[in-house]
Order: sequence, then structure tokens, then C-alpha cells
Amino acid sequence: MSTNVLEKMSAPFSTTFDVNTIRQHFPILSRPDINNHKLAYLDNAASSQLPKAVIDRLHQYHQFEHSNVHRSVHTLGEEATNAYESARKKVARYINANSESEIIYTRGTTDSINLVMQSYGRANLMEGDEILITALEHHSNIVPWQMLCQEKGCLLKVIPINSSGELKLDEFLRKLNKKTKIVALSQVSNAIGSVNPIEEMIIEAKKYGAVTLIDGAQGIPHKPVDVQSLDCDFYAFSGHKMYGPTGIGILYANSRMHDRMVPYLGGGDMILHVTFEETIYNEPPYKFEAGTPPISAAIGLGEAIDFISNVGIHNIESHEKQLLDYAHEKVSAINGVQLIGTAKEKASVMSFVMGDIHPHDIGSILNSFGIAIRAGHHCAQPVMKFFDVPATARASFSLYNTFDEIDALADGIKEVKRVFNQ
Amino acid sequence: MSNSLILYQSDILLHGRNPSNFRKMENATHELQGDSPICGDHMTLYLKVDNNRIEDIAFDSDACCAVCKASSSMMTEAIKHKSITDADTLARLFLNMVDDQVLTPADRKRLNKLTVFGRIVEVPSRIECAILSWTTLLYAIKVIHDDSKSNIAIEERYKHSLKVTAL
Repeated sequence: MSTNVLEKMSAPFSTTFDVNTIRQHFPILSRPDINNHKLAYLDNAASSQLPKAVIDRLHQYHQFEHSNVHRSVHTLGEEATNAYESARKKVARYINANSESEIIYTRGTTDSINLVMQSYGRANLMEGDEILITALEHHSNIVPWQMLCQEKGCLLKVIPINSSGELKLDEFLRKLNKKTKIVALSQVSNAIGSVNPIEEMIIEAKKYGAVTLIDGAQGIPHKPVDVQSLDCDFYAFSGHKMYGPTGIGILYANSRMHDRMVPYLGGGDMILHVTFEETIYNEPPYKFEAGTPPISAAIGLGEAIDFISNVGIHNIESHEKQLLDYAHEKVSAINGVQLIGTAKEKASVMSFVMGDIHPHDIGSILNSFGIAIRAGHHCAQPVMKFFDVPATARASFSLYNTFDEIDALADGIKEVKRVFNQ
Repeated sequence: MSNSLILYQSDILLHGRNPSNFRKMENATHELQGDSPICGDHMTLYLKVDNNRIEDIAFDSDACCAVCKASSSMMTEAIKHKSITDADTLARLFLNMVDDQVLTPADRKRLNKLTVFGRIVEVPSRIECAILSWTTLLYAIKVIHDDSKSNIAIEERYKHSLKVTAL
């Protein structure tokens, strides 16, 4: 590896958080040409942008280091394997896992949750068992459990929310019982930004011996995560929502679960020995990682974690909180705009509706000013149904967003009103 | 002008805000639900067909954007009192237009006010919204005719964006 690349990768960050310095790390943010406007990227809950360090690392890997992992005895094979496994170490350290064997590479959060359903759920749940989720879940933390319930004759129960979008914890406690085998919770709602009190909920679930899974897709990009202190059994997240590439995700699986999980996919890398009569499986995490993995994406995720560590997750959290508070204040002051989701604890996401103006129209008009938001049901149709809206417009913030961009959003919303003469 | 704003000019905005034939129909001969899984729009199309003529047409929706409403509204105005054959021709012309195919001057004349949707090709993310009512109409015509052969090509092309249920 050439030294100048190394130097660039470890460029020092200032200890105080300066958003303009941060923005210089993200080349895409300087695009001036979105419908003749400067890009204001407020769709971070869908996918965040990549810092140059990650882009450079991917480039470096593809240019000089690519090979398959775990099999080749040649130099490139060893280098690729080292880089790939060192990314796993970074993930393990970042979320404070007890061991790297608890870090399973997947394709993303959806894949991680499906792995738990297939690998743990199908092997352990029986007819009459109950699975408890929340009314805030993304479809990826609903549908796999419905599939399992259908196959096994289990019962899916849902913790409801109040009109602010907060979980009704008394209902949670009422629904917990000895039949509850899995409690699967989002840390942060992707649709409306509510932060769920997962720490307390994990403690309660454990009193009944339920296995706990946290969907951290919208949590880990915005908050510090310590899986040992949470003491959850599973924690799932995606690389591309935390400044990494698409196609890579993580399932943290506490080692106490390993013996209760059957392999997910069969194939290469997940075996120790294969004959036509019998196969002996590899040790975790490899037992759950069949086939050639997304090597570069895993290495890119490792780089993204370095980036976050350099900036400091507490700095990110506090900057994003200021942005969200400012956006709430600014946007709710506009007549005719209604915020959807006003939980006391929120992270990054502001969902809103504007009377009978459809969110698609809001999104299109904002796009004409270079403002990228999401409009739709956000893969959380039950949440939309609860608030009795077909869809919402959603702005979601990240460490590189600015107060100016929120001003632009507010101006754009006023323009939407003007177009629709409201 | 920024390109998304072209959608919110003149007729599209007018019909989007005050759609024509936007109501439920009690005595419809055909009632179809059109869903676009891609954009989330959802509509019900009502037809009253007599002797191969569309005597009455209406649509209803609680989850459509302005583009979808405008397209549906203008469609109902364009094909009311027309024969099924004329409605079918117009639907195909409309879909060809938003598929960015070259139209003859005669075609443009036939489409008349509907040519305002021609520029939606510049905003590909909203094409699904504009075609929902038209693909639902084609499905209705197929039900009416029970003549799948004539409609196969267009349905294959748009099948991914449409889920229709005949009631």
C-alpha cells in the first residue's frame, strides 16, 4: 500500500465539531447541479453518503488488493483476508462485542433479521409460541416473523403506540408472557424517528426468557451502541446508513446463541469438511457466511467505522439533535404543516404531512430546489395506517447537514404551499 | 425552470387540485382497483358501459398525488361518451407518449390536452403516477372485451407497476 494513501486515510480531525470541515470529507455534497441548485441531501435515513476516506479505501482495494478471502495462499489472498477480517475486528470493537465470532457479515439489516428468523427462529420456535414486535417496525422486522408464524403456527403480537409515536410500555408488559420467545424491536423508528427505550425493554423481555433482537439500522448511525451493556441476543444493522457502502450489513449474535442456531445458507466457507454423506460446519461466524462475501464492502464498512470514531459518535449525536430541534421548530411554525411523530425522544427523522397535498408532490417540488427528501410509506405501512395518512414526507438528518439546509427546506415547503395555492 | 416544477403547471395543477369526475359511482357496470406498488398510489375506476360506449366514468382515491389525480381527471374527460375502441386507442397513445416514443402530428391532435403529460419523461420518478389510471383503464377494456390478445403487449410492459382487482 502506498504511503500517501495511508496518510490521506488518517488525516487528523479537529477535536471540535465543525460541520464545514466535515462536509469537505463528502465529495457528493458539493454538487451544484441538482435542478440548478446546490444539493441539500436530507434522505439519510434511506442511505447516507460516503466520505472520501471510504471511497478511497474501496478504490485502493479494487486497484491493488483484490482477491478472494480465506482460501488463497498467495500474497493478495492474505492481504484481502487480513483487511476483511480487520474490518470485522473494527465492528466488534465499535459495538463492544465480546468476540469477533459474534460479528456475522450479511447483506444488510433485512438479511440480518432474516438470518435470525431462519437460523434461530425455525430451529427453536414451536406452535403456540409468541413473537412480540412494535407498531413502529419497518417491513423487514414484520414480514420475516409473519413468515415464521405461518410456518410454525406461532402468534405475532404488536406493542401499540400513542398519538406521539411512543410505545405504550404498559401494553408491552401486559403482552409479555412465558410463551413470548422472541422480542424484536427497532431502536429508532425509520418512519417517524421515535427512539424506543430498548434498554428497559430488553431487561423485561429477559425476565420471561425471551430472545431479544434489536433492529439498529436507524440507531447505530446516530447513537453509541454497546451490545454487552444492552445485553441483547441479536443486533442488526446496515453499512450504507452509517457512511459505508451498500451490500454489507452486520448481525451481532451473542455467543450464547451460537449453539442454538442452524446454518443459514449452505455452501463454501461455512464448512470444515464435506463428504456426500456428511458435512461438518465451520465455527461461527463462518458457519453463517456461505459463499464469497462482499469483501470490498466489508472493508469499506470498517473504514466508515474509523471515520465515525474519528468524528466521535457523541459529536454526531449532539449535532443531529440540534438540527432536528431546529427543523421541528422551523417547519412546525409553517401553517398547514403537521409533524407526524412527536415522541419526546427522537433521532434524525422528521416526518410531516401538508393537508391534502400528497407527499410525492411535496418531494417533487422540493427536488426542483435541490432538496432531497423521501416521500412515501417508508416501508412502514402500519405506522402510516395508525396516523391515518397514505404517506408522509420525511427529512432525515446526518452529521454533514446544516442549519442553512433546514432553512432551504422550510423555504421549499412554503413554495409547495404557494404552488398549491394554500 | 427546474424540471420537477414542469409537473405543476397549468392543466396538471388545475386538475390535480380540482379533479373532474372525482366521485364514487353507484350504478357502475365495471369497477376496478388500480394500485401502483412502486409509488404507492391507489385508485378506483368506475365505468358505465352501454353498447360498447362509455356512458359514464368516474374515479375515486384517498391516496393519490396531484399528478395521478390530474392524469385520471383528464382521462375521464377525454374518454367520456367515447367508444371502447377510441378509449383503447387513446390509452395506447398516452402510454406511448410517456414512453418517449415519437408521435405523429395526427396522434398529438388526438391526444389534444393530454400532451401536457409528454414532459413527464423528464421526471421519470413520476411516470408511474401518470399512467396508473390509463393502465387501469386498459385492464377494464380487457375485462369488457375479454379479448386478451389485443392487450398483451402493453400489459407486459406495465405489469410491474400495476396491480388491478376487478370487483
